Amino acid sequence: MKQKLLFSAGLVVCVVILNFFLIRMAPGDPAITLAGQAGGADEETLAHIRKIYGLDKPIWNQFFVYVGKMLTGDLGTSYFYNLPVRDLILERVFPTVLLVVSSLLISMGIGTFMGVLAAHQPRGLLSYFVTFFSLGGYSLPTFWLGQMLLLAFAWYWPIFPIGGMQGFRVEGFLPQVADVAMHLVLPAISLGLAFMAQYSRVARASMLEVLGSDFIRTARAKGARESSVLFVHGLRNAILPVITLAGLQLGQILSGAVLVETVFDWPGLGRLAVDSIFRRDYPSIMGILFASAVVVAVINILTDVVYRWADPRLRSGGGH
Amino acid sequence: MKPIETVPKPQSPLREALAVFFGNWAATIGLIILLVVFLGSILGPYLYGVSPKETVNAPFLPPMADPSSPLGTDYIGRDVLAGILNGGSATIMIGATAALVAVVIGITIGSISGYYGGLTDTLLMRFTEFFQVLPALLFVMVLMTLFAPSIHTTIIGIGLVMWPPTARLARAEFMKLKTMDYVRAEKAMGARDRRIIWQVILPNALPPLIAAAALVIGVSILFEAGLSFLGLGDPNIRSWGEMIGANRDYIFDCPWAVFFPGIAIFLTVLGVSLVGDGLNDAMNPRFRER
Amino acid sequence: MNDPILQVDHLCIDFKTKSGPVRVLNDVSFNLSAGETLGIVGESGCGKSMTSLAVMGLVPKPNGKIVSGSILYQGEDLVQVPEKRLRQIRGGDISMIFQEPMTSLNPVFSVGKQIGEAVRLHEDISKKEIHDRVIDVLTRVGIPDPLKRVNDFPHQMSGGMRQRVMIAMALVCKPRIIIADEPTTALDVTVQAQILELIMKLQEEENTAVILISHDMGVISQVSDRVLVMYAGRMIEEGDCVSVVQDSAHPYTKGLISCIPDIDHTKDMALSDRLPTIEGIVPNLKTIGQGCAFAPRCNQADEACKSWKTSPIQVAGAHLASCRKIVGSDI
Repeated sequence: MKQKLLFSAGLVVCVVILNFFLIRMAPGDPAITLAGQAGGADEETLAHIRKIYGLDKPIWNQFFVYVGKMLTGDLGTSYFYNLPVRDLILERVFPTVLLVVSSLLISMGIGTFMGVLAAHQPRGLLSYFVTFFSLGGYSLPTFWLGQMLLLAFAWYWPIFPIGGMQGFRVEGFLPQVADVAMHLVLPAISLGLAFMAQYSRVARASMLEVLGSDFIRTARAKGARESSVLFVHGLRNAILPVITLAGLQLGQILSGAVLVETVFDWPGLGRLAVDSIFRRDYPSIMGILFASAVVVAVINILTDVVYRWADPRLRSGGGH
Repeated sequence: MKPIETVPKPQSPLREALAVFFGNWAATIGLIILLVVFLGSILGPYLYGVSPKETVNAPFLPPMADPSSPLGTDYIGRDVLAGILNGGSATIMIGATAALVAVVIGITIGSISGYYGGLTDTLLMRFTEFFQVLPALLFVMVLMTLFAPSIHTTIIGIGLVMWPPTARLARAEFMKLKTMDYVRAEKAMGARDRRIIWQVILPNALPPLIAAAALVIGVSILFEAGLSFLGLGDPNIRSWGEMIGANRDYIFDCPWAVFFPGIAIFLTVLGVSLVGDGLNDAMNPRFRER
Repeated sequence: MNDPILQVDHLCIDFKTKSGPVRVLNDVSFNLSAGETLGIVGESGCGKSMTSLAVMGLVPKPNGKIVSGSILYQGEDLVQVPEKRLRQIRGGDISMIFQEPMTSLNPVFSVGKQIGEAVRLHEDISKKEIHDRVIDVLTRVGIPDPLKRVNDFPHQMSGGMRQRVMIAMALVCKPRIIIADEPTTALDVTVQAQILELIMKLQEEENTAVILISHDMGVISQVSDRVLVMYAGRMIEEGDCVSVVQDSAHPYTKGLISCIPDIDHTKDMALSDRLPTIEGIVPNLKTIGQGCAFAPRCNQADEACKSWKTSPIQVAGAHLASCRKIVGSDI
């Protein structure tokens, strides 16, 4: 646990350092970079930036000023919106986390379920399907899949809304939740499918291994039902590698979210990042990189908590 | 109760690997897909001499509507088939070069980490892990905006985020191989570390790394497509991802201009993955179910 | 003698391999009565574990297949009954203790939960009652401080403790038959005796029948009422413990018995001849013909043994052995 916390904190610090060096390495005056807007900032703004970031001081001084600002949550100002970047980002964090977490749950849930069933009959139809699906799903461009789902299920058969996160004129809490859920279906599937494919494959492999172990035989000898052998005794053990893989892939999932948010006009961090790039709004885009590192770090810690719940050998007081 | 299996006749390692590769019919299909993609990208532009960059017909022309544009045209009347035939070489070239960059970085970091172990290993592996969980696309997006988008920035950017899995694999191989007797013998004879790493261990570690590299190419192609889709690729190069990105806002008016390039990306990546998987099985039976 | 509760008759099991089916169990028959301990002994691969799995209805699918024979549990043929009925019998009427206590418990559930599951599967009682039963059975198998240990996970226990948990799991539903497959092999020598003693004590309390499977003639001879010796999937000697151990008729049994280390005698012997061994290895089941399977390793065998169709021959009373030399000499 301590190790995970350290790692997560380290990740955030590393991204701050990375951001600082990227600004310095970019061609041209860092003040212009920080102002954004493709150098369209006036001299007064630039002077102000030079002052608050200490750009006339030695580089190590600038470094500490920058790191200090970032870590205290001062991510600079978006000169496009004329708003603190932190406020811009806080507004967008929830939709992205909602999208990422629901895709994770869908892909881990369905992927593991398929993998377990496939391992139950390693030469069965589903098993071959999982093998093909894992390679096929892996090879699909996320954004293109999203576009195809959009074409099919929002335009040709208008079952789901075309984009955005909320419809207009939806009143009351429950209808609003249902409305957001409807908006969420296609983006979450687009983002989750590739990962679902990989998880089903990993779950199949680990379940095959688990099914050969002695405690599965013990469960059968107790008179447990086959479904309980698979989904209680087997699954809890087979899901461990899936959780590990999901933890390693958080960055990839956030990257995918950028694309999916663009396709579905989902009002999250990814959308903001893409928009900021075309507005040359550097403080925003760097703030988003920072925020995404924080999101990865937090979900990473949560994954660790889940892992500890799933594997008692890792809890305190255990051997090994 | 385990009845004893008959032991198969020993074969040369190469023949055995080939037998596994072609015995694995998924890999054979992958190879056929790749051959078709390669031939289409090399010969296609000559056989089908329509320009991919210029307006050649009415916009929003559906497939088969006009025999001169069999796959239709996009929102400014560019020929979709020409785009696909010409976009392949750019897509594959960027994907493969970026993967090469990634593999070189990965092998360098992984081999040093695995060979020296200790603190070096711990630090390098932490570093690798940071890069692995970093949202790669956001990082490359930052790079692409700070430095003007060009084919070089694209390749270097993708290479910079794709290396961690290769590094981990190289590290594992090096940790295993460095304890082998022939490596110890070299060491006892006073060979320098650099010689042992590059000339003694690396050649033995290559087969699984090559198989892994094939998979890196697939992911790099997808990554390039994603960047181009967002409009962050080299604006002068028409790749498949760029075709999809260009028609993004017109998807309901000319879905075919999005559909066909996507299929091309999908098939290419699928082919690369199938071949990579087959290579993995053939060269690296231990990691088969990875 | 009272009526047998388990009758295995002419049981044959085939195992599918890449080069065709292999007969792993060939014409195995035995009876078991309440309160009795039957020892099955043999080297690894002789079919003793397959016999126990067959009684549990756990012959590995899809490769293993019962070809012929019957397993009558109180008159019910376990080869024929539907899976649902088998599940009721498994763990409820017949339960099993496995060889590997380290890996036979599920690492992600507490031992209390795993024992409780056995109760829940066979009896319709409340959570509170289940908990009480688990505590009670843990006390009976000698786990100290069961109220606390019940929430432990397997990795927090020693091998001996885990085997006690396995025994508790097997006992908790008060089965009529317990099959103990090498229950002490994986344990320290000091713990082995404790575990054996425990099984025997609990057997006496409930008048349970026990099938004890082991490769160790020493263990078998200590606790069994009757002994069954197996070799290459066949029974080669059967009888009450005393006669099989003291008047063994089959050369293989004699070999097994001479392998038991005897503390009194080994002291003065040279290292090389301290422990006699049986020459050769267990034959490949695929290449066995009709003749006596032990003939290639037997120092008394002649040409005729290799083609002699094995069948049990009476040595004395209920003491049977499959060796044609008995016909020639004794009778």
